Amino acid sequence: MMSTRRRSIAAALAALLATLLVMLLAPAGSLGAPDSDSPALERSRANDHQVRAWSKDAVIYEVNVRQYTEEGTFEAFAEHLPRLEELGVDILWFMPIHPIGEENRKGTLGSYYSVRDYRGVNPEFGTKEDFGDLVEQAKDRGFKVMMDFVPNHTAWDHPWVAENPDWYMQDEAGEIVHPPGTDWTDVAQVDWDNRELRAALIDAMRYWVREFDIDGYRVDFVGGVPDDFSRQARKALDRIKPVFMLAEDEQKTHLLKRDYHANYAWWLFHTMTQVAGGEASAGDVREYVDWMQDTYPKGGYPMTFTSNHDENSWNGTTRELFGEAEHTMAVLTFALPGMPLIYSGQEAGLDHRLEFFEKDEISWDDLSMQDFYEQLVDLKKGNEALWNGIDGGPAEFLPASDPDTLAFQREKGDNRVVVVMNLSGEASSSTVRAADAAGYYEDYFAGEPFQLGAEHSFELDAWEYRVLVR
Amino acid sequence: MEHSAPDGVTRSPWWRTAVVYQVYLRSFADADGDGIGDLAGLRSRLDHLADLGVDGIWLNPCYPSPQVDHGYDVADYTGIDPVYGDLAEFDELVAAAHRRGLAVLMDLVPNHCSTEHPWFREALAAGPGSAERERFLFRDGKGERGELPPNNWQSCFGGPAWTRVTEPDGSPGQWYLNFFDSTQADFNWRHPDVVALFDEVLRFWFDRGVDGFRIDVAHGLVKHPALPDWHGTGYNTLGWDRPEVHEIHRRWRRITESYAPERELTLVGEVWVPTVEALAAYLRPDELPQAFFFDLLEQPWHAVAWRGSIDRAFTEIGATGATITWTLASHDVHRAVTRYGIVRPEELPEGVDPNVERIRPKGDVDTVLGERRARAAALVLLALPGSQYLYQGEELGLPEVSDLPEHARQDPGWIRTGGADPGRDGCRVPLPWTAEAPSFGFSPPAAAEPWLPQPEWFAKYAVSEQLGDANSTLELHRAALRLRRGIPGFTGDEFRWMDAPRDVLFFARGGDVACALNFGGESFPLPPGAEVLLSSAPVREGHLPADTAVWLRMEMMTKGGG
Repeated sequence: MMSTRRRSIAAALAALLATLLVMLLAPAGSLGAPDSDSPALERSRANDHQVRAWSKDAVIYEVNVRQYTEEGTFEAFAEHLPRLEELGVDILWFMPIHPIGEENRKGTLGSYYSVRDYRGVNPEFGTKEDFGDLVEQAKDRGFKVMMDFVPNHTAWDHPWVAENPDWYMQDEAGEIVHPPGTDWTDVAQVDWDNRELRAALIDAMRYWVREFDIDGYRVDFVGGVPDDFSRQARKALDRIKPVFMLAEDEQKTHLLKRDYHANYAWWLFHTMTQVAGGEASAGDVREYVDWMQDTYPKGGYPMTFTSNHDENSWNGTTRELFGEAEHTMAVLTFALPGMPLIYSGQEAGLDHRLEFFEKDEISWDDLSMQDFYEQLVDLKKGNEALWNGIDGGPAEFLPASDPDTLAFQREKGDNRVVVVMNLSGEASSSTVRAADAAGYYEDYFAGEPFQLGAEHSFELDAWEYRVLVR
Repeated sequence: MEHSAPDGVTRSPWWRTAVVYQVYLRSFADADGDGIGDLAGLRSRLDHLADLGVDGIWLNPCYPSPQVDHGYDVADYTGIDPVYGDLAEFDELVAAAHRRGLAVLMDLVPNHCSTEHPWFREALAAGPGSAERERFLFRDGKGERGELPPNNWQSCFGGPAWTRVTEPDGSPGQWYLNFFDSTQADFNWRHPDVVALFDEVLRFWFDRGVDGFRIDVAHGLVKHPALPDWHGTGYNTLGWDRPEVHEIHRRWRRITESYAPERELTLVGEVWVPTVEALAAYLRPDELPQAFFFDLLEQPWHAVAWRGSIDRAFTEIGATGATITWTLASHDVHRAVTRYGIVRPEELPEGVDPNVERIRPKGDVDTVLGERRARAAALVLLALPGSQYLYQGEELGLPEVSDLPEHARQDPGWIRTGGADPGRDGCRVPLPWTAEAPSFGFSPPAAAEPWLPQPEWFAKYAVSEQLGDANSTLELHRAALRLRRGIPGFTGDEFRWMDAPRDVLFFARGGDVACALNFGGESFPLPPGAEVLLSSAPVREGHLPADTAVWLRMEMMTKGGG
């Protein structure tokens, strides 16, 4: 999402209104029957096979170009590629790189998520050629490149607003509105019932895949996007090449059957912040994982994270949100089922909330967290049990005597990983019933052999974690 | 499914938006004093249901039965068990219900019959290879002397799904398939006699005025023809959810439709399948008109889980055009108050079906919290587009009776697993009508003890104690059902999510009505100008507290604005 999540009463009211308006226009319920085994679906499946081949153990990295370097350009960012290659991340997800609207702009530079031209490049960052060079360099180093697509709204000065006002949602007075229920006043809400608008959006999505060989999209605000648009978009892209699709959404898990590979683990994120604040415990983490594993369609999985551009800018740094539990929660996002995310600067201990509409450069002076994240990436890649979706194993919880102890194992083939964590700010002793998981392991972070007993007593410091691998 | 009413206006049949009350007859009201509920008891309490404001009732099976599985072991599909009454009493009940505007649904049990059913007795007597045995799934055993079951399928009540018979000559003989108790023999649905039997059963009751059937294990009936071993994990797709079963549902739909347009009859499937997509296949336009949406019942108390489940219902079932049949309770699951009140879950022993953990969880229960949440949940369900099934006692906020003494337990699921599965007796304890012991008004004075013991704390949940108390769960349901009937927006199809914080479920319905539920965390400021129509707990200064739901009438604005 593009701007603050705090909502004013006026915005809520406007939301209500526009929502009621939409309701009258388009009663919900039937969104078109799913197509059966069409050639397009066959193609999707074949493509998924190819995407799985490179995403099965992937870690995703979110790039905020403006704040990444002093220059804030593609060219300057490219200098970090060798370091990111060492870090071991696979997918570079660029926040929107398009020209930003000026009309009703927020702040001096504006939000990336107010797009004025879906086929253009933000002059702040450089030229299209610069972007092309960056993509090429990244690909030469083995990265996959994903872009961020914002289909639900455009900048007010996007040419479509003047040329095709009927592509936008309008109120009773015929005025185009901003997205109902939000305070995103810097953007205009599209009218999803307009076929031409949909076609134009999909053309733009196709453009970057075709011309720049982009490997996929993170789609913004999928909760506001009709399901059948996601279907249309995926079909259209599949005709060009296999793409990885990430939905900014958590509840529409049915979309993971065909249209997206992954979505957001907000529930886990919020539970982790509550755990760090002493308001939730291991059982709440388990409740989330049980729900996720029961609910997600086979093959689909969440993107797990301790930060991203929204959480950092609007809710707090990982230090603010997790305090002493920061490392523990990062380990959790790499060990539980899902694709872990690292946000720009997390490996440099990003210690402040980045401005969203202004220049606010990340400091790379202290790269002390780089090693930690490298270890986490290695842990994930080196252990098949921790891979994504059906290429990894499900989390199975192990009973523990202390309610603050989170213990689980994941298994795939010969590989098994056991994780035991003290999810509290106080030392604890806890007996974990490992049962069949008992045996010889390597304590991954200590680098020592570890013999896990069938009924194993753990003495753990505050927020201490043990990751056992074999 | 729409049809033209006499005035030529197309409208939806009643059942698409009906609220139906499930009567677990055995525990509803006992008129003859034997400690077991009966049809006359139900008839005497129909005003409770009419006043509650429901549109119909669904009766659990009341056919002649040895009652091993409380009527789901049917010995005669076209009679009434004497413990409940007789056909004349049944006819009176239907007439009395119809006079009050209440539809009557029965329970069809087509997967299996009691081993006391004449067909099964004939099959036993006729011996191996006989035509009589073809109506069931008799097979020779494996092993040298046929001492092992024909395949490895498991019963839903625990243990192998096969029982060995003693042949007429006294020798140990063939095995028959029983997916439930060994006294419940599965029919061979590939046999024309079985198909014909149920055609007749449907017509028999429809002709007597019954308005529809709930169909027990509608995903069962047909098995893989070769009855091979099941080597997969989880859901046994050789024994359940077979593609051939859909043809049976199409057949029954045609029978149902043959009574239209004069009669609006429905069939409601009890379909347990792994995904909502699989469920939707039963609801294709020519198949079952309705099937319970159990997915919501299985969700944890969390806004994301609920929103996701509701979205799945609209996406998968909405695509078939069928109505969605919501429910949070039945005679098979732990009561909602208890499920939502579990503060410390307990692990079930290994080997128990993982689904049991979701529908019959164990643990420390905070019943005050649970009732608060169940009340909130009730307002959400009644505000969703579609039909809803309420289970008796839900309107009273009854929690599960989880400490029934071992000797009182009757559920074969509990007995066959040695109590590893907490079983279903705890939601089947006879209802409290008044605060007075011994039976809290369930039975007449000087009657036999109720068939399951009622705990002392039932007194405070009694109907008599709740009537007239505006804060009671009974009055909440009465108010909700009254409003729901009076406001067209609640029974239309329109539904739209409203923007809300992640802990809040907020949706608008047709016209100007909306519903919000705060699952926890901070109190949620209601939109300015919204009028509170009903709330499950007090709303203070325009804020919706945690574990509370509210129905709102939104201020309609004449001027838009962004």
